[in-house]
Amino acid sequence: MDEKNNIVQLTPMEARRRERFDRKQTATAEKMLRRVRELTHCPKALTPFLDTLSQVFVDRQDVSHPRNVPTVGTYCVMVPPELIYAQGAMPVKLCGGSYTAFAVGDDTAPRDACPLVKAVMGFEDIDAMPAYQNCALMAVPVTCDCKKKLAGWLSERRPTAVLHVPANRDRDEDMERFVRELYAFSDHLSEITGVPLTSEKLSLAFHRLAEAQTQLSRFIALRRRHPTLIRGTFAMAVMNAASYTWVPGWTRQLTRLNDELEGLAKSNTMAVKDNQPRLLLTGSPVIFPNFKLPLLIEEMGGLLAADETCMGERGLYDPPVIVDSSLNGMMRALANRATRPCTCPTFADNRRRLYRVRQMIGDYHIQGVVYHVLRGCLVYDYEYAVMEAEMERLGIPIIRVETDYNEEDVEQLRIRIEAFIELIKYGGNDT
Amino acid sequence: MNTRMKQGLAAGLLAAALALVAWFAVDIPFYTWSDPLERASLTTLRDDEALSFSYSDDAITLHGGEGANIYALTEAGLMELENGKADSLPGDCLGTLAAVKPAFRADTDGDGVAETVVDAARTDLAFTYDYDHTVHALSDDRVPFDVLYPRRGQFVFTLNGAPLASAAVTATLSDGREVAFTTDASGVSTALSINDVRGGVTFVYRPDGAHTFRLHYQIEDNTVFSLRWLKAMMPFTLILLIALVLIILDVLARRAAYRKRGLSEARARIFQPSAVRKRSHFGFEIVRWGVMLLSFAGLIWGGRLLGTTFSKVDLPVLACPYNLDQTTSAGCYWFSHITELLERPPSYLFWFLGSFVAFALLFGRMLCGFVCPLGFLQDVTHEARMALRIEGITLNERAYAVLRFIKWVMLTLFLGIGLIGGSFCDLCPAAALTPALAGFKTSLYFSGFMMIAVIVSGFFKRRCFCNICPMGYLLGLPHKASLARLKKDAVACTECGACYEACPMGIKSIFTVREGKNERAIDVTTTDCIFCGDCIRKCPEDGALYMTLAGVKLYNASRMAFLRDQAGVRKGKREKHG
Ligand code: SF4
Ligand code: SF4
Ligand code: SF4
Ligand code: SF4
Ligand code: SF4
Repeated sequence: MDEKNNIVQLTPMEARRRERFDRKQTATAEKMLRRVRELTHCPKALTPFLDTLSQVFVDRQDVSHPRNVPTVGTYCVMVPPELIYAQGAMPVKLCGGSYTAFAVGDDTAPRDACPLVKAVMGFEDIDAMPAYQNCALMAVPVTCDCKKKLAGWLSERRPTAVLHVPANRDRDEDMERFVRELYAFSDHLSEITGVPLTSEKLSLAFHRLAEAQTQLSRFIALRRRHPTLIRGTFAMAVMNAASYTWVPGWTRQLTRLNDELEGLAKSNTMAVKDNQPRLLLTGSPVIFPNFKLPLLIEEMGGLLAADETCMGERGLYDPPVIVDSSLNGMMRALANRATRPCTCPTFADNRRRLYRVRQMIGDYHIQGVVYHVLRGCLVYDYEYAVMEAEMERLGIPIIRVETDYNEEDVEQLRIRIEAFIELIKYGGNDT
Repeated sequence: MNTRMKQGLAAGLLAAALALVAWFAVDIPFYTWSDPLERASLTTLRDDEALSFSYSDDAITLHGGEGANIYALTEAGLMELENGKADSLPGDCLGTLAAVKPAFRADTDGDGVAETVVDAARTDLAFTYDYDHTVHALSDDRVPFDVLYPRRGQFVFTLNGAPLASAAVTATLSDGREVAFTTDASGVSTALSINDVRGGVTFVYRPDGAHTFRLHYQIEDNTVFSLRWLKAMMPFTLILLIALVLIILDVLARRAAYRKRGLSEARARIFQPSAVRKRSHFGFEIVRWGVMLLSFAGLIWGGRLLGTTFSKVDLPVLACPYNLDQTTSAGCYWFSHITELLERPPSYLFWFLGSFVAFALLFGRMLCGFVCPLGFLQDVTHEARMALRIEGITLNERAYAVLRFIKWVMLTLFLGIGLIGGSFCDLCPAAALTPALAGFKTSLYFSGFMMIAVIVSGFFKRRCFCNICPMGYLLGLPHKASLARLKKDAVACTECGACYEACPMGIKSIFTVREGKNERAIDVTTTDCIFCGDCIRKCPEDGALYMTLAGVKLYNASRMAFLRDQAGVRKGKREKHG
């Protein structure tokens, strides 16, 4: 672990700024966690996940991981965790959801940049988040414009690996190009960790992630039960915690949660009443502590039945599929998984996202869709129109919610979401 | 002329050139056996045993030759062999040898009255595909009681050249068993199975109390694990060795090339064996391997195992019927020898067409995925690479387009070369596999080189040859009417591309197709699909892909089954910390 950042002498002004940051950051994170805990039917086994979030955002400690294992900051689901684990490091997803860091980054980034990127830049500037600071390497896939500039900006300050993501993935060459990116990334990792990539290490890492995904799939199957066993906000906390947890530990925690949920299912204890409108949240990433939307939905009497967001279910959903057990075969599996099934709107052609959402509507008995747009996130906003048209065709109400990382618009959001929920409840759209 | 036409023309010319090269190349011998007649030698022993022929590889021995006259059947009729010895048989010999003792009187039926006994022996060398029993009739009054073996499992008896109708004959098998039977109106009996005949059989016919005719019959045998079998395996062993050397060379050359190109060291180590083994779970895949193994055994030793063959049924895969022990015959021969087919009695045509239509409609290329021995061989080589974790050669759309082109050339050769007097069999890799394993000495021309190519390419790219196989392609053509279907649920599919990555036939549409009449059950069956089920096994979405046979779901994609496969490591290999 790199301790040098913590012993740098701060000027009084910097010290004051940091103290303010600490206070505010702690306060928001604490408030969000409290609101999560206050929701009804919180399973006992959820505690370790919330503790992880608390550890990183309230206590501001580094993520827990075995000693001598460096951490690698990743900025998107397209950075394969398997590769990082295989080369003796631990991935930490650093996409920022912090209101305070966002406020800091607001001074550096252009006005129209998205809050996620602003928060990341804020973290870098304020230098007060161990989980962030201690990363030995940053891995930034070039997805949208904001990420591209972020990659450049970060590489002037930190060891940074930039991964070029193809704009499309149906042609074989596109995917093959990403295989080469992954080899380059792996070389970068070897420099940092001193651990060369071998087929054996990689396959063990695959198994490790596959175990996590097995539990996740079990979890998803439980979530699909109707009536519902677990609130979507809790599920999002579980998925957000995955970003900061050593994966075998997360797998164990999730196994316990699954066991508890199975017990609940047997005793017929459901999370919410049957008649609560079942909503799907999709769109720009929802990153802790920015839990504004999920909390609002569930506090206003809706049920967040599912989410299609990259810090939620999608973050670990797609498994890499090994069809060829040679090293190159596994690298292809990683590249394939990172690009082809990804419903990220930064890909030029992304009709698969509509199909994905349709499938989820069926799987989770969805009655309405909440479309989250982070102010400045063009790519997700772009896809709202097609999504709206598709939902209209299916007769599913949809609402577009544009917001960023501050609490000024909360009241206005509350009113809109309440109205949306009422509309589904009494609008005759019951199924 | 637009570019498309130009390209088409260029491809056509290239194809013609390739076909021309192939026409000359087919005659390049890989390993040829000399004519069985040249190889064979005959020794007569006067060892007081019953009059009979026996084989040891190419050496034929006549036992009990005291006072016997020994003949070879030539085009001019029976020709006596002096001293009963021949280092090679007469040039115009038809491959049949006979021995007969002068008639003597003895009481062989135990009724106390001596009869006239005619004791004879007969053997047919190189009992091969084109053995024509009409030519091999001795038709000579020196051997009055004669037996012909037109097809495995069928004997025709004659007495003084005329069919021996409704006659009671006793057969004594090599293990001492006695089988009594009566011939039909044309002297035919099907009472004995292939295995009854293999070790030699003695027929006894007693027309009346005063005559006994005895004939010992022996075909050229090819007992597995005998010296003869080992010899027959030689060309295939040679092929394996050459293929192995080529594979090693390829691995070394590629490693050097990757290093030279400055590729990442991890990439350059393309051979990384590992102790981590995946655990297999019972399912479609295991069933498929089971069926493949059974078919493989059946198509090599079927006749031996079952004692009979279904030689009228023409299985439309490259299971080479030069192996006469195989359970069924194969349609490939007739497809590539259409002129020969038309010269046969109409029943041949009927059986050929009937088998093809029936198989194509019932199973289609499922036969490729489950039955074809050449396909099995390629799956085995692929598994070998998986176990060794050697980097393969992954093909993309462009490479598959090249293979498709080669397939057209192969198809042209397959159907056409027979019409202009050639034989596709001289080029067909399958000729090197099953006949040798069954112990048949089959001469290999270009086939031998093809087989090396099949093994090496199949090692680096699974089922590479199947991508250019004309027989498989023809079998897949009527797939629209076939009962085997591959279907896709376009909504459940995440377009993850895993199916395409897994597909040995490079069928991309299973991954990309989204639109169809019923999006929850789009038919994605194609001519190329061999129903190996790997796309389904590797599909991580519940129900996104599935296979049906006559409407019954055989195999359905399941996320949990997939993850169980992927997460399963053999015990004791889990990582320590965590
Ligand atoms: S996709 Fe949207 S939220 Fe994500 S970095 Fe780009 S602009 Fe920001
Ligand atoms: S050599 Fe090939 S084409 Fe000829 S009969 Fe054998 S398998 Fe069929
Ligand atoms: S395509 Fe393959 S499996 Fe099918 S007949 Fe040809 S060699 Fe056999
Ligand atoms: S593997 Fe399954 S989910 Fe993936 S593209 Fe193929 S059918 Fe779709
Ligand atoms: S489509 Fe599926 S079943 Fe057909 S050949 Fe390809 S992987 Fe095998």
